[in-house]
Amino acid sequence: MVWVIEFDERTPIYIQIMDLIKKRIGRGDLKSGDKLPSVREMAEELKVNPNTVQKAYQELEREGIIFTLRGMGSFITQDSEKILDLKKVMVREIIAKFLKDVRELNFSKDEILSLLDKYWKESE
Amino acid sequence: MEILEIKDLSKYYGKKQVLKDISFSAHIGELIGLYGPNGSGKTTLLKLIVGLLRPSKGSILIDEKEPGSYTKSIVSFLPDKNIFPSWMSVKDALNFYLDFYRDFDSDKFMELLMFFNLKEDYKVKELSKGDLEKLILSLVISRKAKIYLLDEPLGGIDPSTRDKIIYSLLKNYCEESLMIISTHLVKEIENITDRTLFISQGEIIMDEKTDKLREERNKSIDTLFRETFQ
Repeated sequence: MVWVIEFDERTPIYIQIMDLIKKRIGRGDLKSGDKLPSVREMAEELKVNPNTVQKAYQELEREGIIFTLRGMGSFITQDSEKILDLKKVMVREIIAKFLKDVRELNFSKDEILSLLDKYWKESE
Repeated sequence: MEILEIKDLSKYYGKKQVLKDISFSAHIGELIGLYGPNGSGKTTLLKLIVGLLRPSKGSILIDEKEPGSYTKSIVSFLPDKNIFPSWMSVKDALNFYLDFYRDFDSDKFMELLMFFNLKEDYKVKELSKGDLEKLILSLVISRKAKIYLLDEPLGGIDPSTRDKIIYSLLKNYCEESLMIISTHLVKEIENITDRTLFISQGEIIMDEKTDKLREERNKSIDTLFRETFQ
């Protein structure tokens, strides 16, 4: 798996690394029990300080999204509830952004729902 | 572990004061970006730590010792100018380092040469600026030092080569050493550092964890640098 980020300068790097990993879990590129690259490998891939990757992994561990086995590495949680929760948070963020954008265009809820339905079918 | 401790360090060249009461300490495992415009005192500071210059005032302790033959054995310095005579080949430069530094790791050096596509029989005078920089960097990071001081490791190097150098720095960066990289190319370096120092007219005007600084100021170190020194 190739790891690349175009870093956004306003967000701390460790958070951007966390988001990248969450996104890959959400999309199913990383599955329950999959092993993450080691801190060093990830640092080299992303060209960031190993301590930054360490911090991202620690935070993900605190959130229960990954777990670390001493001497073995870090793995994606096997708790499927946790992964579902993660996806719910992500979809909520996407919808919040979507709602903000469409409200600015002055569409009503019904209009948006019917448009959403229409475009959903078209894109299937 | 505190490996470098600098207290009230000042340096005069004649009457001109180039460093003013600098104090900071650094630990094993840190990777520090030392940023400042030209003439701010970066090179002077590094040369003082290496022991190539003597302080006018104040003290420098490396592993609790003043700069001298012991500290030279644990400090690996990348100067901002070529140090090798033009008649030397890459192999000669390697032997030169082997003779001078007991902590030199030839295997690591050979790996780096390969990574950078350099050959042992190349002559120093035939190397491009970028290749020369790669050679010297390879030598400097092939030592198993406690402190690495890199003065403008990216100066005069094209962007694709910069990426290669940064990759090799990260690859060879070791948790058991301290690395200080002095540069004005902030953008290229900031992501690999965990601590940021700004130096201006001989004074340290900023000393903070890189992550914390980005989080608090909501901008990259590069932007912060441009705003500070515009």
